[in-house]
Amino acid sequence: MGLLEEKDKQFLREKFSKEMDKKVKIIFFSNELNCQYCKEIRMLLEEVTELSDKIEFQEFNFVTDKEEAEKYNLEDSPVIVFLNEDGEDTGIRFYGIPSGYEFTTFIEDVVMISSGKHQLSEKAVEEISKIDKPIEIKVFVTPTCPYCPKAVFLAHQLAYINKNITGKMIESMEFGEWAQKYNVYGVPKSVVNDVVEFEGAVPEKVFVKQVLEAYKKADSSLIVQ
Amino acid sequence: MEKYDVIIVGGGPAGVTASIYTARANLKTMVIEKTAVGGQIVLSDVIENYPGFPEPMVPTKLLENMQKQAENFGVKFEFDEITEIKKDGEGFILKSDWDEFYARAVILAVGSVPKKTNVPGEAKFMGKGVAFCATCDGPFFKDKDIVVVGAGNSGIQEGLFLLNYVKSIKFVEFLPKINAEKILQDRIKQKDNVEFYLNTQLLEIVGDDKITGVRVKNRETGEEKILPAEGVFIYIGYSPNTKFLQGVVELDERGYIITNERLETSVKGIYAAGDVVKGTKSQVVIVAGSGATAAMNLIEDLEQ
Repeated sequence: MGLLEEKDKQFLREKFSKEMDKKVKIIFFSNELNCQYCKEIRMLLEEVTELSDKIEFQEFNFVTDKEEAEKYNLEDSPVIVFLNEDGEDTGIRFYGIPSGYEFTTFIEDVVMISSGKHQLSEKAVEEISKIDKPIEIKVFVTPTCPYCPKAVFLAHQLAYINKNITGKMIESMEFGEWAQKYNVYGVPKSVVNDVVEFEGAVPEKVFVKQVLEAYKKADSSLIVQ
Repeated sequence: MEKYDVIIVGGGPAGVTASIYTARANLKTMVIEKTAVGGQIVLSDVIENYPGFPEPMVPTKLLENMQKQAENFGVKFEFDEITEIKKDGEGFILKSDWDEFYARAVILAVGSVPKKTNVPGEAKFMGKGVAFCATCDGPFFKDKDIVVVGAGNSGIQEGLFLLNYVKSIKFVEFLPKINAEKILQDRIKQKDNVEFYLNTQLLEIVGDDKITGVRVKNRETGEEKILPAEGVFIYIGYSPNTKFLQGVVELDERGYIITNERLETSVKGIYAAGDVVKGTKSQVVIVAGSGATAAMNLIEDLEQ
């Protein structure tokens, strides 16, 4: 039995055919050991891929395909990476299964990369475009958190519009050690470059400000060195 | 600046229902929501008392359907936080940090947010053991002993959900009795890993790096003690989301919007709907009706 219901598949087929334009490539890095949901993630990606001829899906093994994984600076697995039609890394990552509420984010990402349409305000794009140093945004979630997709999709949109930014959804249960390291007991929790952290599904402006704050710190740390 | 006939602030069941009505009256309608469509109902794990749906249903599913229904009639959904509303000629300008919208009429369906206890330790452990959303944060407390503050409908319902994860729950309730629907009381009483501390006041959430317990006082005997716990979920009611409306429309002393029976606020052209309206109970069926009422009156007034 599949993971998606026929009704949902039909809805997605129509959404993809209406809203998608360019091809999107989804790369999944699995591992054989210690992966609770790799089977489900693979199934989910296969099922989604079947719904549009504009979605491609490829799987690598995180351990044995080390060279591939290094291309994208991946620290751990299971992880999903999105590439655009030209095979360029979008900076969008899902560490862990994009299920529950995060499945919506996953679908929004596919459509955004394909159509080129994001939902950020002009002002946000203007501010974020100035960033010229690597920024990493981690957003810790649980699949049962209704507020989390907002934070994850913001991180993913920022990654999409600026190549210097990586936006990572992290499923806190699958990546328990990370969650512990960053003292996560409530979600969504966002951590930017390990120097700025904040909780909750904050408005776009607040989110962007926090990212800019981390960018400033990245700047000054360079001066110190 | 984008112009609308009607802008509805708040994408919970009240706001979305109102939008279905105004869009069907051919009024150009936008719903502005600051976090997630659904409002506070999406915090619940299940809804069982919305008529017409005999099986327990996931609140987000209901709200997703409401949103789809509204979109089918042409309603636009925007994610933004309105921080200011001011009169502009015949209509209103609604401002967010980075945007401005114009509307001929406004419906405030901004709802309410969970109330904080403001006891020492709450702010310190916010997001680090103090939580308000059982479905979001429950998984972090697997096999742990927790405290739920408040034994009303929300406290008991979310407590029942949390029992899927946690080892035990101690309910701390200020009032001398459990104040929840009888059906919920019966369910919680069947659980053996639950204790009730009634007529008990929460004084402090204690711990160094992590929560180790809560300090409470029995209101009858005055006795104080520490209840050991690693997490604290708070369900002591709601307060209205109306800070940005101070000086815009008339509010009561607790911040709820004062309206007449047509759900008009003190400002002509601004209506209110849902549990932000003084005296409205936080039930999906009630606030949906409230949204419809506000919308129908607004339509009447705009068409005059």
